[in-house]
Amino acid sequence: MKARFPLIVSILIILATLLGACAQGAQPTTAPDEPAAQNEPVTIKVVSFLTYDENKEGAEAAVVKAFQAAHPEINVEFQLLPYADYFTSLKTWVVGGTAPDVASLDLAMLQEMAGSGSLVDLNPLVTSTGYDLSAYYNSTLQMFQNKGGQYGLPASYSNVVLYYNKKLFDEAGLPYPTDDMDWDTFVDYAKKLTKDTNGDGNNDIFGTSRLWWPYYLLFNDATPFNADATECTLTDQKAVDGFQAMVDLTLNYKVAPSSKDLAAQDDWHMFEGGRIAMYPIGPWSISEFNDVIVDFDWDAVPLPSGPSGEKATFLFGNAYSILSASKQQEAAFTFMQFVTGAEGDQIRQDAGFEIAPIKSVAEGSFLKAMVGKKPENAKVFLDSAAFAKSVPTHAQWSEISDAISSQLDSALLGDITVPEAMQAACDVINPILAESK
Amino acid sequence: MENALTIERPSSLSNRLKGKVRKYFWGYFFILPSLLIIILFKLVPLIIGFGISFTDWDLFSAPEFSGLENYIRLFTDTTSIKVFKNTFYYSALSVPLNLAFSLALALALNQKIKGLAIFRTAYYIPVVTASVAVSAIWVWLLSDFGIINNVITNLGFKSINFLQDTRYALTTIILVDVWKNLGFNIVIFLAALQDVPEELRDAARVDGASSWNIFRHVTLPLISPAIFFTAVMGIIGSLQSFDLVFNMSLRHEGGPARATSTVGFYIWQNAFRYSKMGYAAALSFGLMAFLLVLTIIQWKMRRSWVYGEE
Repeated sequence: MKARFPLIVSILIILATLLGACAQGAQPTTAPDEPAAQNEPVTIKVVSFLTYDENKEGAEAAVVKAFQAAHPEINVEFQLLPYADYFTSLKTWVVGGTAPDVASLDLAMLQEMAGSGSLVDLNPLVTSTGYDLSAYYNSTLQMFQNKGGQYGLPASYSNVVLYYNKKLFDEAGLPYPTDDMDWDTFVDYAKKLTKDTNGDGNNDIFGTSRLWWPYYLLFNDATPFNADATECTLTDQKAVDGFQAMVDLTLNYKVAPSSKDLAAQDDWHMFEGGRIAMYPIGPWSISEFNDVIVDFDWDAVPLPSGPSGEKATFLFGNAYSILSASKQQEAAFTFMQFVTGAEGDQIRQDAGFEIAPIKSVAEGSFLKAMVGKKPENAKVFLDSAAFAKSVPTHAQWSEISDAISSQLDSALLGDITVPEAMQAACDVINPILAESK
Repeated sequence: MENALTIERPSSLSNRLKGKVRKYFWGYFFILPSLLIIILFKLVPLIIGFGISFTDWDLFSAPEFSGLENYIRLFTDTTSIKVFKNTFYYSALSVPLNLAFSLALALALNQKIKGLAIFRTAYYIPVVTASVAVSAIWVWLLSDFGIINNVITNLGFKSINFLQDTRYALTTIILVDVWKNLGFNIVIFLAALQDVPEELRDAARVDGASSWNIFRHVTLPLISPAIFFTAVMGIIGSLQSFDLVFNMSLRHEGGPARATSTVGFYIWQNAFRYSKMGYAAALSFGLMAFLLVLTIIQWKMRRSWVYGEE
């Protein structure tokens, strides 16, 4: 029989709403949050996906534990969840009236929630508590702003660099990539490194692999829509050229695994298995790759500059935010200051989780923690921050993103050309933009 | 006792009412648990969902009344038209295929052959297997390195990109669906076949009917209620298809290029990826209307072919 997942989940949500309403009605009204009531510790509820998926389950719990030790007056109910379905759960709680006070969010989640007014603008709290934001990398703060409001404080950030398998370079007799590699050199190397080792007509070792599609907009200075988000701009030459470069890698030069190849083994494990020579990936790979890769030596350089000479990389980040429904905003902000501040960042950084957005921690500890680990050129992660860009955001980002990636799938298979794909994507995106005003 | 007397003497209206209450009380009492569950988990959400379908609701902020906007979009949104077409194709292909194969297999399993119990179990195993596991296995089997493409390339043909080619992706998923759900109908057909009286077949044989004619004019009419039941259930199930699409399409996006998106899948996407609860609810009611019409047509048509319904 068919699983009727949507039905079941919608029923759960509705029930949660009803139960939430009942629970709210039944609860004895708690005394308003007064700082004077010191004997009674306030309780805040925190949910987070940070460090869950990276086999570093201990790190975020340790951050909370350290906070608990430093602030016994605030009782933290902490829940660590996997990233998958995290946002769905969060939505269900918000609807059910059981929203947490503080939640970790990625960029897309944060912008969607900020757009719908479910997050607290932190600026007034920053001003009233005199909290110093200059300790953070500015770009990581900017990601989490929306119309002048600061809707989250960064807890971790990461960007993407280019790992390379030294063994494959040595075998091909090529010099190792350099910091200032341009696009043509990159493609040329990739072609030379791609090999069909068993002679069955399919490539087994690939020169490189494709990045998530927004990169091919960022590295050509293109955008999916115009500045005021009223019109789709994917049919512009810059965007088309960017995606053409992406399609060429798989379809024409065949130097990057196609979705068909990736269905058998994903690029992460292909690199681990020595099947990808130049692999664009972020710092979340460091701990596993150091454990798993023993057959070859590898290092990292920044991503090459794009076809038009523009240098770019992804700026990814996760933030902690306070939900508007929270009745304990002051306690929540105290928590935020600690977990996104130097103390919290230090614990996460020591556990090897991404990069700390607090400058002093990143500069002091990230490189120190990397000593003796690969990539040897670890400062590439800090250097790349200079040209890192965050993915465009929109309240309907997931719908826009699906529209683009589904058309790119067809273009990557050669079913349609890149301009056709972009036209088709715009036909879906323009109504979405028009509707969200 | 007195009670017996009042029932026997339904003189006044209040007495009659009392009698009725007595008569039906225990009946209602016994169906109460399931009635409550249906009201609480089906009827109430249905009514709330209908209300939601007239709103704009992103889950975070309060729902905003938007009139018929969501229903108008059902007919103007190119994606919605595409997913309804896909869903129609899904049903039109999966239901007849499923019925034909399961009936053929049920007929075969109704014979006295060796290892019958093993076959019957084997065909039922996919039904009870989690669809995530089924999907994972088929994604492997159908991949470029999978056994199916291995056979194809060894026969000298080019390998087929079953799940990532817009031309084949949906059909491939439908065939997996047929395979997975065959066993369910086989069990129903087997039960129906065993109810066909042996005397009728013997009588036909004595009269000189060929085995095809016996099947066509004796067996088939007698199991037509089972065919009707499986067809109705099959159409309802296939129109709600979600799990295989979610699990087998690339990155769970119902792609490539929406080729495998069904209405059920698009409802889920709108509700939980795009935060458009109102539109998702409207899509659900659109699907319900579609289903209702199809079921009514089937129900009306049953008179002309289902045994015992003429």
